[in-house]
Amino acid sequence: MEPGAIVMFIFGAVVLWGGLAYFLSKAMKSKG
Amino acid sequence: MEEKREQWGSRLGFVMAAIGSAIGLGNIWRFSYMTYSNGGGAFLIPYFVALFTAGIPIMILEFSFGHKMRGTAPAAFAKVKKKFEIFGWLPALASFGLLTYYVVILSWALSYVFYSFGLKWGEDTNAFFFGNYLQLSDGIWNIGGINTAVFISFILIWAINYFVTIRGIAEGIEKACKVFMPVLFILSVIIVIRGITLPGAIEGINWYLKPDFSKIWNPKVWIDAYGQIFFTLSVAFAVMIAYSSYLPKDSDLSNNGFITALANCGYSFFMGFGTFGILGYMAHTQNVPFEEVVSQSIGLAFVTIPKAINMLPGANTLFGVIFFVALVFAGLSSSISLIEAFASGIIEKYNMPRKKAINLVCGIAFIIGLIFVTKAGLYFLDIADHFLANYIITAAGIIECIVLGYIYGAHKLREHANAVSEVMLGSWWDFCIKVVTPVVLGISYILNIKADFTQSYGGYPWSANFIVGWGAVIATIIVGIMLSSSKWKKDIFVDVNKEVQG
Repeated sequence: MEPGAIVMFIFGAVVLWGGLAYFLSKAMKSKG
Repeated sequence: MEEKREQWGSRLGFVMAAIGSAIGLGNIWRFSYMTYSNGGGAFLIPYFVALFTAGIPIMILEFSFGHKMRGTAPAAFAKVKKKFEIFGWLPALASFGLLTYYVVILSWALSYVFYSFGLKWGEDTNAFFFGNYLQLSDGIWNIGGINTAVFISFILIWAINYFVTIRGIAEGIEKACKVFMPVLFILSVIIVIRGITLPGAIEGINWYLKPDFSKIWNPKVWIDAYGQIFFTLSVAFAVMIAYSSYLPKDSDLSNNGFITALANCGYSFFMGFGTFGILGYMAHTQNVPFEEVVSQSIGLAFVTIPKAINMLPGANTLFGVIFFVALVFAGLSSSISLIEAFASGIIEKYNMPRKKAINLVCGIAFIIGLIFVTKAGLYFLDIADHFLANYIITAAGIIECIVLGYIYGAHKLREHANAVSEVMLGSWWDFCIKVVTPVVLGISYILNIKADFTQSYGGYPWSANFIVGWGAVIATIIVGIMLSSSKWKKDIFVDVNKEVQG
């Protein structure tokens, strides 16, 4: 993969999948 | 006597249903192409800005509004002010209109599940889809009667929708989404793994994500990013307001909003690797430039992907079945939410038993949908979709932001969300609702009107755009006025706080 594409892949993955994992973990910790 | 309001069986059930509503066909066939054509990876910048300044704020707005008002969109707006009830009917009716043809596209996908056995589409997938399968007529006014092949699938898809929604929230929609979503996830993982492991896939993925930062200075790219976010999240469809009205009192609204929006967009981003991996493989195998194979929407799903399936080195039928079953599942969780958006409004307004309301809504939608099952159905579908999306749903989004932001008060909904949520919303959220979203949607609305009055949409005859397109818009408004002027058969105007059940 081209370096630019790799950087944008990491950027997208961190924001979308990382963000989702963060909010899911918060949801699992809370009792709501 | 106050009837006990239906409620989700669990938080997981609600989140699955909300994500299921948001994830639809567009996630599979639109996002990756839009990224590719708007600067590749650079498009992620406007896309994320749109997600955090419009998508997530509106999602939380709708969750808070439905939850606080304990009502579907028409009831919730009526509780703000009686004369605002129509602002709830317009998106509910737009969902109903969208449902009438969305089911037809799912019918095509279901047919293609069966055509995958033996790769029935043959070598010329374009001729098969438009000629053999759709039997597309030579013009919109040459309707040509019902297409039997589409009609059989149409009945099957309607039967699934009917049997899910008639069972209600917890027993029908929630249980169905708890099956649809995990299955869709597994199928999608298989598609992506197959896509990225094909020869030439990396080339396709480079085209998908290679950034061209010069494009992000083009205002059109930003309008496209906001449009993509707005339509992908099923906001201003009356769905999320209805769904959140069935949440228990102590539900975390903000966190649910973030999860729903990020899961939807994360899924689109993920599927891009599958579709662009497959497109890269096609370009590699045929030894042609990537631009010659890339496509989106109906063309990608029913022409390009079948062609790619023909070229796969093995397990062609299996991959075809997986791809089209994934399309059907992605679409079904959306179509049941479209039924619920309108039917729940009818149930509430006329105090109608669910069974009767679902019979009525599905029955009428089925009959109207028959026009899209004809040999000119694709033309009708294209025009109806363009006009309903751009003129009713966009308008509903703008109105929602203005009414709830300025007249009702965004701060009241923010305080409501903060009272039950772990993630606290600041005044930035009010700004997104009151300024960012309506301004961007407003610009998009004006540009669409300008384009549609200077050039006939899709190159169709002006008569077709006026009768079908503007006809659908005007009919939606007239039916909305009629519904909002009729009398409520149930007293919904009691203290909203007393209605909230734990």
